[in-house]
Amino acid sequence: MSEAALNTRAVSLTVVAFLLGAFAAGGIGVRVIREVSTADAATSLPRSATSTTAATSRFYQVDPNETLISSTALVPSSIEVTGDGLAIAYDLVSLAPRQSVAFPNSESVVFEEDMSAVYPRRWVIDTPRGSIEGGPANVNARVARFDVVDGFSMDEVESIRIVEALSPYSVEVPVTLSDADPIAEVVPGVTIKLLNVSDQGSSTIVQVAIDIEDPEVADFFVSGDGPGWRSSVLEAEGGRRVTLTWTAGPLPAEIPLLATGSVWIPLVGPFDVSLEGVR
Amino acid sequence: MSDDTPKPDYSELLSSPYDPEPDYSEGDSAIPWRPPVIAAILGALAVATFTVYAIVTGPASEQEADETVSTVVVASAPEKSDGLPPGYTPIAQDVGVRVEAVTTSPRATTFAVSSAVAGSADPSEVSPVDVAYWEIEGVGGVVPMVRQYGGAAAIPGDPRHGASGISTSPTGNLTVEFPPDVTLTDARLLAYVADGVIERSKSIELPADTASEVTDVRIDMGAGTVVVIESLIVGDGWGHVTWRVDGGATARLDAIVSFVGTSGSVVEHPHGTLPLEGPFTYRGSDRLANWESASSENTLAPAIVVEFRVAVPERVSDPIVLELPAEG
Repeated sequence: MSEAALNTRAVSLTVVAFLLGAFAAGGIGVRVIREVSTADAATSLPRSATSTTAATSRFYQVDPNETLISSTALVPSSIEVTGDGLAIAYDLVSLAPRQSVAFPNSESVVFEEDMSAVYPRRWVIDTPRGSIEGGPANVNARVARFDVVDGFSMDEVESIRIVEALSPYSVEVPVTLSDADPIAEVVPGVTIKLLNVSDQGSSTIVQVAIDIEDPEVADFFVSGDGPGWRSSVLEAEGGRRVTLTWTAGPLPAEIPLLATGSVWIPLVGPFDVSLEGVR
Repeated sequence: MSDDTPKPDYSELLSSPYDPEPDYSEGDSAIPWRPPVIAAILGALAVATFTVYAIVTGPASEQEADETVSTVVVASAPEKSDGLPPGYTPIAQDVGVRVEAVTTSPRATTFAVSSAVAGSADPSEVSPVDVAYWEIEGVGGVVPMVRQYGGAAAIPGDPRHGASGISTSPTGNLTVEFPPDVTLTDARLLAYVADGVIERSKSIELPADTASEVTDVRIDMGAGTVVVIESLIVGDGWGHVTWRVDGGATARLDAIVSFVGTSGSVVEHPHGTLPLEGPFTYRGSDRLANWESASSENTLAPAIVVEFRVAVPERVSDPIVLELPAEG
């Protein structure tokens, strides 16, 4: 036999032998796998053989692109990118019950839909280049403004969040002022101070100053508490000052007053803004 | 048979691969067995290794293991909700409430409660929340509210914000106060909703030209509930009323001041409230808005009539449980 024929025969035998070895081991392996699978199946929960279809439904109250903040729906209405500025306009739609109130001997008061029941104060836009913070100029504004780099595109926006939202709640706090203790805290960030007491005929005039650290999120008025007070007038000038008139004899040393107003409390967020609503 | 029959040569088959290497150069036809044997061993090892790997790791995923299990997620278009916004607990027809925040101070523990209507309802046709009273239920037992108020709030910078400091814009937001030392651990807020109201009225006539005071005026509301006007004081251009409810119920009160004997009349209300639309409470101390700016015709009136209009809940619901917000 020639050497070439021998080499060919040896190669063929090698290949055939490799396959035979593989098949033999494979046969044993399949049997082992089946045994293991059977053991697993005996101790496992049965698999469902059904095919399921899950529909993800999303519901909205007034607009598909709304953001619900407390009982108010924030609905983006337009977006404008101009140079280094980005402005997102929005509407606030209150979901609070507001059936008109009939005052005795007067016309009914019809309440408006767009009430300032929510103040979306701080917004954050996330982009691959970082986060951009912005927001409306004040509680009555309906446009959130952001400073962006020149050439900014909305395509860069990954998400928009309102990270600080506030809602107003009424607060009534009885306080007393006196010469010895002329300053009282109404709520954190709001104090009232006795400025002056003077007689005017049979009446006594009491002047009080209201100091509010952040007038955007708190507003207060002071009136007399209890009988004896005739009027309380907010002065138009000189800051937030109230002049009260006492007409029931000598003014008590502890002057009884009632601070009435509202405090905008923070709501638990953040609140995601629909990108579809602003693109 | 002859012994000359050629015998078969089994030497090749009987030889071992470990036998000394034959010298093929001399024309020997022996086959090289070593490579096929090694190949067979390698093939078996390769498949055995794969088998062990398959047993140890199992199927790549459940989906691969059982192709009949399949889930198709279909994102449907957003739908208009007929129900309440998320997180709101139904408290009346088409109205729900939610506790937004709880604050504590040395003066009071205060709950901020918002209200919202269902998507199927028109907010302008739904009455504000009418809760007779609230309680806190917790490890410290049941604690009744001190008072509730709100529904309208001052809006800074709002042109509707009048000199009184109180806008008539309702926010649907209620403030509910409890004692300052109430325990909030594992606490729940309970709402007892008014189911219908009983209304009564009573008028008191006073001289207009002299300061006068009337005390202990009782208005029987039935079922053991009595609204007591503890004090009505009318002075020179001002008035004040202090009242309470006996019998454990709550009430709301409106006062209408009229000048008798003149061609006109002036209507006033307790300071800072929405007449007969404000929340129920146990007691009140309200200043009647001053009428010194009224016409001289009124100041010359011989008498002042103060009409009290009182409303109490006809019935109250079973307690409606509201969870407190997570601290955040």
